[in-house]
Amino acid sequence: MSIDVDLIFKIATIGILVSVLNQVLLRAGREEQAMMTTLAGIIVVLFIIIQLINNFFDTVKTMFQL
Amino acid sequence: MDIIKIVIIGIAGAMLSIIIKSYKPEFSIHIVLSTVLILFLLVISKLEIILDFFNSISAQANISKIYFPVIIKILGIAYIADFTAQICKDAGEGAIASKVEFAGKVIIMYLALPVFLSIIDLINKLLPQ
Repeated sequence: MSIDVDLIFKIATIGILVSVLNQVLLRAGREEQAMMTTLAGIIVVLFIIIQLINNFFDTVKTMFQL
Repeated sequence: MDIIKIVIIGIAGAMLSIIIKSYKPEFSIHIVLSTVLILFLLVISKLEIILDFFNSISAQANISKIYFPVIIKILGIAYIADFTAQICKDAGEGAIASKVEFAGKVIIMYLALPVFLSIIDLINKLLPQ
């Protein structure tokens, strides 16, 4: 995955979106959906982070001959 | 200049993580982690050149050909252990951070043993029996 800087902003927007959705759903009285959206948000962010970490560890492994 | 780009990314990441921490604390660790990883991946090309430079120098001196890979490996392990320990401390997990640091020290010591042995052998040879 390329080193694109807008990744940080993507994660930030997902975080804000999830918290807003969470509030809206809570006000609407649907706690389960609120919980679901939070979990979905975290899973999406984890996908991005895992790709980044994988790229990071491969680079370090090849560079330091670990 | 590269350094300005790196500084801007660092500040942006810090601010974003504070903003997110007020809404959703779990997301702030993701932002911190991604910022740190991006900063490292930006700098890695320069580190590569430095390591290649050291490799070429050590290739001439035949003694360091045995020990230079150990130094590089220890450098990598030290960096990764410190990186993980910092991330764990940021997330508030002091215990995990100290354990990771301890493991890093043990592994580095483990890798450095052959070097110690060869030094001791060298000293024994020098001492007049």
